[in-house]
Amino acid sequence: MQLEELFARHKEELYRYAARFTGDPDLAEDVVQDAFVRLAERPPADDSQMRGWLFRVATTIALDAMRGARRRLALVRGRHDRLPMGDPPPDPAAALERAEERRKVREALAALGPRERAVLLMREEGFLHREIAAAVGTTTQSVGTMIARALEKLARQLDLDEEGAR
Amino acid sequence: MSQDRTDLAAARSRRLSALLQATDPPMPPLAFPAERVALAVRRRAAWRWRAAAAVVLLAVAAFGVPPVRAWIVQAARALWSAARPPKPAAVASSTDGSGGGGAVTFSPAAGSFALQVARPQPAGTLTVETAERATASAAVIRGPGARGGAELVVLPYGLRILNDSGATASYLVRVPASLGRISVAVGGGAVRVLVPSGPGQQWILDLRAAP
Repeated sequence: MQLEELFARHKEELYRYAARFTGDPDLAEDVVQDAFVRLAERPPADDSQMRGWLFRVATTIALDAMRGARRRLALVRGRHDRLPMGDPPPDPAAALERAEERRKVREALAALGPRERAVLLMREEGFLHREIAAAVGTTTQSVGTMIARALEKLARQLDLDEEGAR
Repeated sequence: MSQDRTDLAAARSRRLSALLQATDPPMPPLAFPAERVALAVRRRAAWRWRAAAAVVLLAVAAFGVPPVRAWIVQAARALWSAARPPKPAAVASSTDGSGGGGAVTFSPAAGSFALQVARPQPAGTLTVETAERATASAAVIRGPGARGGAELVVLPYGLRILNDSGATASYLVRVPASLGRISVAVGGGAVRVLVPSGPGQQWILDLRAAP
């Protein structure tokens, strides 16, 4: 399959994953594009695991970028809550509430270890435990434990156990 | 208890999914990084060429070292044999005192033909003739009082005459005129190249060792 076709097929889920993983939509764009440049440079030996490979590479790129650009991230944090182009002007109170919710989710995810975060977010993208295990370099059994632990942490921070919580 | 935990995890998971979806940033119009990908592809191709060039240089350098050269030659021969399995060798033999000569007919490969005489003889000649035909033939011609034995061995790329060092027989080899070139080597001596230009040509080579 051509690289452009692969890009069209996977860019959306990769972007969503990278944005959640990094908490930075702009960085997520770079991560997705860098992952495909990496694919052109050093494609995987086994094409059948392409989706897992892309997520694994995106995770590595995201971690590198986050490590190397902490200061830059702090400077651009204000851009995180950008709004969709073409949306009507938001109600200031609703926009504030939404921004606060995003901040909480971002901080809760950031509080997880990179591995836990990757495991949890890959599960959100529908990966099987064994695929996640292969991508993050752990055992299938450990994936279940890591997800439960991550959910436990997030539950405390995001009130996931409250009835009616979103 | 275990079921409760599973249910709790499932409920948390559902709520987290909803929360994540609600707070996801909008999908930007992500463009395929065509230029960077093209550059990466070119870099990769260049790297492959450099790697290939390095391998060639290494091989050339290694070829100067006799043991490595011997190994390379051996490996090349093995590869050649694997790529082109030899036809079953046809062998004709003529032994001292048999009173007759051995003969063999075979289909030579198109192009080059190698004729190898194992060693020089005290007497005798090798006659090479071209003919308008597709097959080649070779015969040991033993005159009265001829000594020594010889075997004709058909090789994938030509013919080898395995003669005794004291043999005095002569040999007649007829080859298709369509062959591009015929190389003849006697023992470890210089290789003589014959280039057929049509049927009916004849070359007579003395098999005695040069003084």
